[in-house]
Amino acid sequence: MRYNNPMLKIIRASLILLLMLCSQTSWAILHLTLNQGVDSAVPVAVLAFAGETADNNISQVLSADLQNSGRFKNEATNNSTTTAAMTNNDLAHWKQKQVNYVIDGTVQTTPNNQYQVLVNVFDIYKNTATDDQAATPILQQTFTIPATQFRSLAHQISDLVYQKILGTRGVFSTKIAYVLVQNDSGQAATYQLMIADYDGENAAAVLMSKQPIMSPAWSPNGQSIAYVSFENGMPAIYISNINNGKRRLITNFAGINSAPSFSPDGSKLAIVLSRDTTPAIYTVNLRTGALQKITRVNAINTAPAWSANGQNILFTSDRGGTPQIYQINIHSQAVQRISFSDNYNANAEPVVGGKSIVLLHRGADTNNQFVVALQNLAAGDLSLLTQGNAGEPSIAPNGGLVIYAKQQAAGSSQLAMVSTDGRVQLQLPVSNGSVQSPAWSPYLKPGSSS
Amino acid sequence: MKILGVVMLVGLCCFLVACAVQPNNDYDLTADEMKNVGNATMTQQQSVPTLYDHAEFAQTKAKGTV
Repeated sequence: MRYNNPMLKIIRASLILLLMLCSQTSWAILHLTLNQGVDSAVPVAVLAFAGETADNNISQVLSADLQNSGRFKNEATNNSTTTAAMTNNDLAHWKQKQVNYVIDGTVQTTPNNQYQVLVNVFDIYKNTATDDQAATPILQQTFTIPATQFRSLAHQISDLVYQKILGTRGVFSTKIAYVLVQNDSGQAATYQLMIADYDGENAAAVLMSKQPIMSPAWSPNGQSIAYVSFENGMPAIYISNINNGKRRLITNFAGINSAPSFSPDGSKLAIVLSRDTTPAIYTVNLRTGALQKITRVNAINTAPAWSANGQNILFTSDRGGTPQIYQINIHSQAVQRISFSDNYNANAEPVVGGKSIVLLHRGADTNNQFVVALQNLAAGDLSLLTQGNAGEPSIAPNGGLVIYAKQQAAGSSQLAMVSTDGRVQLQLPVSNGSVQSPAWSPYLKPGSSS
Repeated sequence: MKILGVVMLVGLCCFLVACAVQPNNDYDLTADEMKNVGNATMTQQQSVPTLYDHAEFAQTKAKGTV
């Protein structure tokens, strides 16, 4: 799609004119550290599953997931193990420990070298047991899995427990994509597009390059990632299928090709091109390749993000003098300014429910540091969520957590998370590299995006 | 009819010439320039240049001040 050749330009111009006339119109282990928690976290006891070993320690992953959410605190001790049944004595014991819920389970091998995993969740305060009858779990489920899926099953169980107790969906089975920049002394930097579990485990590179990689963005079904690659010296937008590795060139026009963002139905990509004038938001139809120019003001327009209904696009523009958040209707192209505070608001993403957005903010209130902030759209007020310098935020599909790159003293950045109420801060240290542009996946079907 | 045809032909020629001499996009950023965006635009506190920073860098370069 690049037209540097004069003859190609003539052919392109001729085609455009004719059309007008005719129409007449790798592995890198991260570790979560909870810096701050929620005082009102629900006390639970995650018991060691009977039959589990160091290789299939489901209860350990389950416990870590629940604690890392900041919504639960695990009161179980290391020697708390699943018993045959939850008796009256057990209920009394956990009531004395002021535990609200107990989660236990079993792991058994099956004749065909698979494993059968049973999980129970007991509500301690809404349960009774008699001498003859054990307590009844509020959740009981059995799974049969191969040995390779213990960790993903543990995340799946965490999602079930989270939803059963809190009533909202967990994000423990989701993934994160990010760019890892490694710059060993004396060596040219390498850029890797990484995909990892939400907690940073199972990180693997899906693309490696000596040239910059930027702006990974997940498709709504979680099967593909759009990104910008400079591998041929100039920017180009690609979409890669992360299951089969196939990739497709979307645009490589002269000038800027950046900031891809999938529409909610996956049929279009919002992108930034400078092919006409200043950087402008376009949409590209992924079936036909048709481009539609969305923003027409002669200013910087970048960082598009779709609203949930696919009718509006949030974007960053300096049309008012400083970078601020605007929203444009893709049909009427009516524009509304969203942010007004201080001198720098950028990279907005809508929070599920549509009542607020997360963005990157800098101003006098942050001592000119970049912080992740939450803006209430109705009231317009801004809540600062992080301290220290932050990079561009990406929000989890349940709207509960935001992932971002946090600057370290040495200058590199590492992954960090913050809850949208600001009360839970999580650190995901990265070994040997600096992280850029984290992007949280949508909800994934079990077994997808391996 | 002939006049209309001549006018259209002249218009087409002018249009084609204008397109042919149109300069390359001023916002071209090479991979090496991208690696320097941070050095050129970031504040001391900032860890990673934002998408806006990238665009601003390209615009500054297009105006010939980088």
